[in-house]
Amino acid sequence: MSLLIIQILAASMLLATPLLLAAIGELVVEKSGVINLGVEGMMLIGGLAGFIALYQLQTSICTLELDGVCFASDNSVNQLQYIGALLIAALVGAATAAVFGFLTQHFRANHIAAGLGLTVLGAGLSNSLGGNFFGVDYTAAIVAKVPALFPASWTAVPVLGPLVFGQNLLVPFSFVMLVAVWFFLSHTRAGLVVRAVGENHHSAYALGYPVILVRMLTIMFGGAMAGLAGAFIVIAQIAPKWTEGITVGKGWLALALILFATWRPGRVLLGAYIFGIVLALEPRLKAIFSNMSLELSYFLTALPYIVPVVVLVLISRNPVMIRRNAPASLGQAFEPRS
Amino acid sequence: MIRLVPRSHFGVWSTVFPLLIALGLTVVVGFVVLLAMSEQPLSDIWTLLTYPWQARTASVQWGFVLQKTSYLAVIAVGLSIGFRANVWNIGAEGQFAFGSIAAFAGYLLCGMPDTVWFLPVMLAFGVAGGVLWALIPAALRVIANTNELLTSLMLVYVAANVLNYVTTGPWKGDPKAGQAESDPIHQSLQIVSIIERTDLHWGVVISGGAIVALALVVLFTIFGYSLRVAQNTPRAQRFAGFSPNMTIWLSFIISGAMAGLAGAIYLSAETGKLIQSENYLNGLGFTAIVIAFLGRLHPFGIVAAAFLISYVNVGATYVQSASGVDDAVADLVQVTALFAVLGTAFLSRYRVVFGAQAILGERTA
Amino acid sequence: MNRALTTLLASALTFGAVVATPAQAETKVGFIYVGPPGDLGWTYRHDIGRQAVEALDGFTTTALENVPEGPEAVEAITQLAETGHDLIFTTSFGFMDATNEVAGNYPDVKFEHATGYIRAHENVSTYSGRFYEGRVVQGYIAANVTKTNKIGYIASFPIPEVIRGINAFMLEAKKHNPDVEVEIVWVFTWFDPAKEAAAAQALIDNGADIIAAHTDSPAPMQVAEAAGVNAYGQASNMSRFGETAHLVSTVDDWDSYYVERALAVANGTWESQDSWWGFTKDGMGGEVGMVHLADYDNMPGDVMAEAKAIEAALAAGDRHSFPCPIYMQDGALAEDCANGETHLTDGTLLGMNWYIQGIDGTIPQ
Repeated sequence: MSLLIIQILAASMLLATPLLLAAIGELVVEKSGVINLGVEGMMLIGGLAGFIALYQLQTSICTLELDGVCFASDNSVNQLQYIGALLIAALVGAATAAVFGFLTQHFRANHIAAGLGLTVLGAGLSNSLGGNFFGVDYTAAIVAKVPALFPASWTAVPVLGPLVFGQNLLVPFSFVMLVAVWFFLSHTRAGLVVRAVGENHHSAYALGYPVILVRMLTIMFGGAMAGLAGAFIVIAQIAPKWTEGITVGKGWLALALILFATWRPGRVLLGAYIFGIVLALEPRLKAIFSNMSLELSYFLTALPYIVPVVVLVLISRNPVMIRRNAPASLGQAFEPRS
Repeated sequence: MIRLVPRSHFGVWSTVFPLLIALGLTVVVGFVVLLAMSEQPLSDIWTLLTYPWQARTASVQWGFVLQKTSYLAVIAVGLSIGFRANVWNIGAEGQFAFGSIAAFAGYLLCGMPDTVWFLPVMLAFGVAGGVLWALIPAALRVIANTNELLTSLMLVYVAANVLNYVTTGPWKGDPKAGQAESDPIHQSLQIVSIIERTDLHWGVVISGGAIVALALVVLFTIFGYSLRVAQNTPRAQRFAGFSPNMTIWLSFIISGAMAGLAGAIYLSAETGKLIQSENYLNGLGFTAIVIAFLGRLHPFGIVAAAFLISYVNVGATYVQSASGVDDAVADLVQVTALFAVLGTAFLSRYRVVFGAQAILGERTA
Repeated sequence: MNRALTTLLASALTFGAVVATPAQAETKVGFIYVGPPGDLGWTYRHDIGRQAVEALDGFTTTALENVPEGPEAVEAITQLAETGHDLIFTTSFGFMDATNEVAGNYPDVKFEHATGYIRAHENVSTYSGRFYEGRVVQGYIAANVTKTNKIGYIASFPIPEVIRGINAFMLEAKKHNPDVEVEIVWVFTWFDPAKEAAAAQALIDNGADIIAAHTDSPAPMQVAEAAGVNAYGQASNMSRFGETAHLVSTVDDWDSYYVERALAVANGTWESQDSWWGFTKDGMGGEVGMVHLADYDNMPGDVMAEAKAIEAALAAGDRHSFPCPIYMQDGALAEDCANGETHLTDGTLLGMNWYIQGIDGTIPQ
């Protein structure tokens, strides 16, 4: 029994981490009064960028060469190369978000429309660049697996092995970022400015805070985190492989998480792991209960999308709680009064 | 030395000017993209612009364009009502699916009538299905104050699973089929083409009628005027005779009805049967959101945007068939157009003032 | 470039005329893909087949990628027909209705639909591979390699193609090791790496030490590799995704069929037909078929030798994949066997919707 619980927890870590990463980023964005629905698009572009970077950075030794063409090679990746690829993913994610930022902050475009546009852009651009980026077809590119943080033998250690030693760098990073964002928002002056801008941009402006600059920065932070989430899905969740549309709706689940969490970091963590466990449980239940009815089987398949709706209803019934945490200017275009 | 000055006067020019800039930007970007992707950019661009006259049969090409236009426009016009009032139904894809499911359910419930006279009833079932599915996020918003944007989106995935369930389970058709699908509806209930061999079918006319009817209501009735004035502030809504809740209900009912109608037409005219979601739904409900914004939430604009995007989309596949250029061009053109329209929308509310005049303006402000 | 433009201008003026007739009589062959060739599975193998045609003298090919299954395929297939393609392969089941619809409009163009069974017009052929023959060999290997006697099977949709594979696999496995059990997870998708991976991990955690997948991505192989268990490749050679995990891959092999059909069109000998090739074209040791096994790895020498012997016997027609007697899940003798057949008939296999004896669980339908 306890083994089963550990297995489910280990599996849910893999599934929850990208949700957590993307949600942490979007949390800061929304706290500054901006809603960016383009998370899915930023994840795709960032993920592809990370994969391309890792492909270029990996150590590749040709083992079979004929007439200057390499037919087989030994590829390997170390933590440093992986971190380099993650940085690229974050940067490209931030740059993608900046497009949204310019549209909404400088050109005062509608947040919802620009965010949806970013999603379409991400899907279209990553599909076409992934198939041919400077002559390389990245849908067919082979990249070596990223090693775990600790020696492979450590993963045999009970409990700690699968849950801690076997995990990818980004798993502990997601926890660190969560604490950092919580500390930033609630205990630093800069965090206070972000919240002030999200609460009432006109008074923040009147107090001399650079509303547009603050929002551009949070939007780009959100993009960087979404880029990392995408890179985790492409590189680390299974093994490195670029596939068109690989995020299949995870960006939207991350957005739902923010609402579930009523803009509180601790609850984002809880929510991400509830989703992770639901996603990990589905195939296990189907495998164990082989006589499951079709109705139940499809219900389980749809469960990751039903849970957010039910949870949203439950928490939204208490509007006081939402109002206390929700940024009051969320989604409203800011036009300085001159 | 650039400054934005709010416009004091709104004329036709203030609407047309930004759209012209957006169109120009889109053409430039589309041109650059094709220049980069194609070996013979000039002839490809020429083909993209004139393909209905180059193809073997022009009517076939116009058929595709009008068919696509009708689906996108009918859903987008419905959505635009809510978007104007800041009610965010982004789950039209799910309401479309449920429209199809409900139309098929109605067909089964009424004992599978084999007469064309049943078609209106079937379409009505589709409309009801779309409304029903749209009422869930509306009700959750009104009763439980739940964010309708996310619930309507999540319900897309749930509707897709319902579609998969009915096609693998209770309504499963031919057991030999390599996909989950229902039996086909009677031939008499399948909408036929107006012009032989083309996709221009009577469903396009029905959608057109629905668009015109809704546009007339929105533009020329007091009810529609109130909806338009409602905009986003609760005070204006009350002043216009609607409570905020009423606006939410109406927005979802109208957009659900239009998406449901599109779903029922799709079932009758395109597939003739229900099919598992990944082979049945192809993102019309999501593209329609983009179209709604491209058309600046105005019925005329939406129809024009739907037509332009459909024209480019069909053309991109044609160019790809003729010369092998990746049809991702269409996606990029669509996104550029959207960003250009969104990015220039502020020009209808502000004037851009350059140079010395800007400084002068600042001093006098 | 200028000349091309003038030609196009000229042809544009003659409304609806054919663009240009190529000087030499080249045969144009079009392909409709459901995914990108980079999926390294299903579409990748069709693209390898396309390249075999392209390599012939006097043939040019065009491929449209990522064409959605369902009604939208009508447009893509039509555009290939409109741009002068003589032969069009539509390479997924979901293109069946669209292929037949377009074929009716273009009687001079030949159409080939993969994995379908409807040939509504004389210019439509259907073809598919007997992929279950690969499952027989996989089942034999599983029976001899497994230590936990537990096989994890990731199934996409409950359609005859998938059920046939499970039955062929378990029939052979049980024959050589009666203690073998299979645990099946229905994921209701052909392609979702995260979902396939989660299913593989769940099966491994439950004690399976061999993973068989009837979905399209290499994710199950990658998970098996990481977990130190074995797996089979699906559709293409997936050995590079699992150095220590890979046992053998069932590879779809369309090259010889595509070349044969393209030549038939060029020679004017093309006729509508249905082809179902296994390891060999005739199942009796003749020419190369549509299925082959690639890279036997990670198994004892005697198991590999016997597996290859089974492959050879199936190819030569010395034995059948489903030899009588075969008992259904409830213990009843299969109808074909009761009727005195020596093996299950093609008709039974094409409509298979039941498990053989020894498989626990119910098919979700």
